[in-house]
Amino acid sequence: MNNFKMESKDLHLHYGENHVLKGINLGVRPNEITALIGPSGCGKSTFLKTLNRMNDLVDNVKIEGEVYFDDINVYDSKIDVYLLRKRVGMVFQKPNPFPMSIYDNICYGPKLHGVVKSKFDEIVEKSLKGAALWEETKDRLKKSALSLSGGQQQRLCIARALAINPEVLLMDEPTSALDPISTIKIEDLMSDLRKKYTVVIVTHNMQQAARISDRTAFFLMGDMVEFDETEKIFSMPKDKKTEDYITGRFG
Amino acid sequence: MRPRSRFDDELEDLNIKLIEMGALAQEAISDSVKALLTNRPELAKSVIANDRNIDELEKVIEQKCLKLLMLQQPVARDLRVISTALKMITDLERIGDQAADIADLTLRFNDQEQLSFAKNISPMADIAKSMVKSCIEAYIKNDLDLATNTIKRDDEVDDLFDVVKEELIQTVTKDKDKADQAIDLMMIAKYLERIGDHAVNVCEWVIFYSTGLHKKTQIL
Repeated sequence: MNNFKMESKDLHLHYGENHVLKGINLGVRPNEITALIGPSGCGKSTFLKTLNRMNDLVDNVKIEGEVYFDDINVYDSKIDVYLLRKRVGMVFQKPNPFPMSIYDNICYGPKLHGVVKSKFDEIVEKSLKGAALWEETKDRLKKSALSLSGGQQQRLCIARALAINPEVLLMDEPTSALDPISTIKIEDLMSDLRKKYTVVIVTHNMQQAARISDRTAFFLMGDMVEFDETEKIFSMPKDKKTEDYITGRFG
Repeated sequence: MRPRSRFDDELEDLNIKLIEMGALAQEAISDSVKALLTNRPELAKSVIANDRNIDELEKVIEQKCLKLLMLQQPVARDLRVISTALKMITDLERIGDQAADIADLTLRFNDQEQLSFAKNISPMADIAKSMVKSCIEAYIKNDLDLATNTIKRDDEVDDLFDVVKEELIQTVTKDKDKADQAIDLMMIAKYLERIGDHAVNVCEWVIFYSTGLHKKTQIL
């Protein structure tokens, strides 16, 4: 038995004719931040989405190999995908709050999953605190989420993901649309989140991967070229392709 | 245009400046030893005057490294190039200083007879000089074997230091009037011994650049 929270085994993914993931073996350890880096089109976002089956929604997709969440095979036909996504939550590149109040944004998930209304106040406070947004919003919870700044909206989306009590949080370039101050806030938040959750993040910002992650995987053209402790990747990568990419000499 | 070509140009310029500083340090110790062994006060004076150039170059390189760290946020090999440079210049600057210190003491010599008090100063000076030459060469060629062998030679300098010390004790025991001159020679021996140590340091940074290991510890 390994101690991975999630693990892919010889995972292949095709979009029609395109072989997008070519046999990925990657283990995500619990309570760590795992960063996925690589140039556009390398497969890192696609890989992230396989972890909670977000690619199921894409036409013409063919997936082979296995993805484990604890000891559950995620691609088992008996899996309840909605339950899976409750336990493996996701935050996207652009903040996407629902056009409703801050409060209702947070309660949306719990409501769907049948949580009783009397719990909502507590969930809202806990989730907003968890996303470091409580102080800024506690007096305006009934205001529209769209009135928040971009950085606040993204933290709201994190709070919304936390509200359904996930075990793993997938983040697809969560700060690429944010200004530097909001970015730092999200990064600080992520180090806190690591204590309770397992985080997998796709980022184009290599300094960000270096700053926040415990382990880093470098993807290139559908292959995972190298996966190691972040300090090793950014100090003494084993593969020349990794070194070329992280030192900006790729292409 | 290849990616990061401006940064690569900056790193190449850093490399050239470092080689230039190494050449100046090597020249300083070489001239200083020549002035000592062949009693050439003019040459000793020029070593002292030229030390300014080494100090100046240290400042320029230091500034350049800090700017590159700030602006380019280097990682992996790039970071090792810059940190190697930052560490090496301290040792090269000290080699320059100590060569000038030896030159300064040489100017106090009245005659060549003084050198005969410690016959082993001459081989000691030759080894120290050759270690400096080798450490610069190891850097330029990124030659790990040369760096490792140069580090080993430091034992020879240390052993000779003890021999010189013994020679000078004998001299003073026999003739107390020679104490002042003997102490000057003792200081020269100490400077040569320190120069050997700085050459070792440079070699250790050369090894670090390629391996990330410094004195067998992985530091980057």
